[in-house]
Amino acid sequence: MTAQARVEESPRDVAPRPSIAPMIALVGRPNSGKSSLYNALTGGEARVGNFPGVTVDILEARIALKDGTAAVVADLPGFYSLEAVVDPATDEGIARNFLGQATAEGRGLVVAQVIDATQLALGLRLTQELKARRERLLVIVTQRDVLDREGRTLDVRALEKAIGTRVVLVSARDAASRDVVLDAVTATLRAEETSEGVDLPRWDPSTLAKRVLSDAPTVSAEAARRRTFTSRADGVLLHTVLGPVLFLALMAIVFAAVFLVADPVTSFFDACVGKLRAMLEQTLGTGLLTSFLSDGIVAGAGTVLAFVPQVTILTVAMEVLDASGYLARGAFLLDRVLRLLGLSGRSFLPLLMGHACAIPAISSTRIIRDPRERLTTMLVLPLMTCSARLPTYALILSTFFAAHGAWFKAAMFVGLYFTGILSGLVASLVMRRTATKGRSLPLLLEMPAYRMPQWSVVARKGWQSARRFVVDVGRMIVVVAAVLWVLLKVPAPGALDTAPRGGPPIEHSVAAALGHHLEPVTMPLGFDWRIDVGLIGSFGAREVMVGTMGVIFGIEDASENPSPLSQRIRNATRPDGSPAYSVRSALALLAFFVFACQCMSTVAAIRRETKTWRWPLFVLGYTYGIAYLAALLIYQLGGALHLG
Amino acid sequence: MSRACRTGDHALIVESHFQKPMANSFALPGHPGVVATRPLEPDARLAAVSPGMAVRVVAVSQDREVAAWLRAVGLSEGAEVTVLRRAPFGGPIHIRTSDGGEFAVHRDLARSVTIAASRAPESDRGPRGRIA
Repeated sequence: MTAQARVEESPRDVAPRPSIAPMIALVGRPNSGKSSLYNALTGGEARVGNFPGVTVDILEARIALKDGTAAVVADLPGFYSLEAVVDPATDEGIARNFLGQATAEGRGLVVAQVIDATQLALGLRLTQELKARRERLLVIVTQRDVLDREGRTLDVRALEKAIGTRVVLVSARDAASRDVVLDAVTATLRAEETSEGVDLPRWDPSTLAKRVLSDAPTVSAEAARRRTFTSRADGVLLHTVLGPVLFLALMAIVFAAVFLVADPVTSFFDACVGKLRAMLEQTLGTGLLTSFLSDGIVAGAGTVLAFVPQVTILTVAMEVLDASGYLARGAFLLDRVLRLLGLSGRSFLPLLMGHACAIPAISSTRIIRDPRERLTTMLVLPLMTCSARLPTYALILSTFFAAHGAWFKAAMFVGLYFTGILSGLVASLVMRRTATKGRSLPLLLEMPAYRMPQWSVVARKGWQSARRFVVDVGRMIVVVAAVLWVLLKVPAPGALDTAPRGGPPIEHSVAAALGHHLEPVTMPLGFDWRIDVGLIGSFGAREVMVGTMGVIFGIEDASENPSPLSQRIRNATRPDGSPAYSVRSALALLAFFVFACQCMSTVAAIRRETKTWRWPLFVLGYTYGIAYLAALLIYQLGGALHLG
Repeated sequence: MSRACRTGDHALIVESHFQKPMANSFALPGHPGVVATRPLEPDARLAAVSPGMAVRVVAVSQDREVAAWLRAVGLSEGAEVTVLRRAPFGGPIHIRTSDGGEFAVHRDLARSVTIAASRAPESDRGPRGRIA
């Protein structure tokens, strides 16, 4: 069929184009068991579908139907309604847009609605909407095993008759359910569109659910156990005092796991990258090309790998918390506190995780349902004190505050952490009234019954997040690493003539030339060209600040042992012989590091999640802006107070 | 008396009753529970309902789109709702609807939900329908 013909006919009347495989769109309320069913249908295989105009990942997989033809299974985000869309960026809006596009494409489309049998009435509300839209609908009721154990039955025939749609009852954890669903899909695809001409549904979801779902003849022990388990667990986990304590303890464990479990894996990757770099030098010699490959490309790839364990562990932890039903409880407990800041309970976990590393935290913001809140959380995450800031903090403190005791330094560290948190909260408060202002989702959060997560689903999500990170974020990190290598290692044109002889090669680099040019701008902050070069070097990743400063001051391995570097920095002088740095320039530099988003990986991750350059550039702009102003204020105020 | 003030008074009453009703409230389904008998004022709001009480939603005063979304989620006129607990620090309210859904409802939203005494028979107050 030609495109011309398609335009003339209304999309509804178009027969499925043979070139496009029919699509099975899995829809349903959040927590309806969609992910489990998707896993059962596809065996866990998934790729992120490429759907224009859709800003969240919709997973899809190709499967073979029983008659040998291919079909695409798409896993839509969970949503409650297609009619009531508060904001097009919510999961509701995305789903509506997606189904509209799929219909317009004229491909065979089966909307397979997944309903949790234990919440039949709630699921049937959505069925009603889907019927009204005249979608080619198939209703898949899951949790059959739960009904069986409780001795309850669902009258599938009566339900089919009442709603005028094919219904199957399965258990997603049962291997046989795949065939049952696929048979029903084939039958639905072949069937004439039964919804045409049928009256719009007039049945009441609650009444119908009561009619078709029998209660257990006697309340079995199993049913009683399941029904009271959630209540009982909530009695403890949502207790006024115990609840928050347990929640914080659990968060501490997750936080520690991200740090501790990821660490050995990261060191292993580090060792591998080190070996690779050594091998490169052995085979290619120590020329400029080797340096580019080794210090630029391979080191950049190493940075990517270093984040992978953290990203994976955090994704798995979030998935387990979410699928078990606990995440909603944590949000319930903390909601009040975060509402003060224009956020909600769901933002807590990403913000906490940001203290380990902003990159996994940014992908973990997917648990926040409200699109504006999710965006706000992402935008303030770079202000949290991530672990990559610590080496620089340590270097500055040990260089300029060596005379003060350990307690003083500890207090400074705590102060720096709190400055980060406080500025993040203020920033979110300001953004919710400016950059990300707008209506939020109604303040209602479903509290699903506690459930054992399905491990195959958890494993799939962990694997996907790792792969997604390497492919999408990793590419950009490597590119930036390559560019920075050029800046730091390639001699600037003419620099060899003007710069003093005998200094380290970095003094002739493009970055050094830039640093000298930047000096007038950063002089009011107390930074000279050397710190500027460090800041240029750490633009891509703030953890390289110490190493870059080491190179500038001619100290090998400054990252491992920074004390000789401290000595050199303290003794550094200006061209006129006066000390180059003072306590107030140190404080200004600390302030700069608190605020500036010196992390291309974070920028790349935000770009990845928002699918636009607007927000990552906004983050760069506002964090560097605040960083500059804060450093300026501190240095100038320090001068006025005759500090150092 | 202004509404805000009245809600405040109720909140105080609720805090003092908070622990006790929840402590031993794990009745089995169908087990006779006790419907709280505190009289409801006309135009009472969900925000002022004490934990353990079963009530019926009379109206949701939100704009049309939001009300439609709430209806789709499961909170709308006619819904039988049991308040289970309140989050600490004046946070959301944990409710269960007769359709079997459990939700955390923010106070601001709960203040826009007008309620009346429950009409439903005992067995209709949710599949896990226990009432403190």
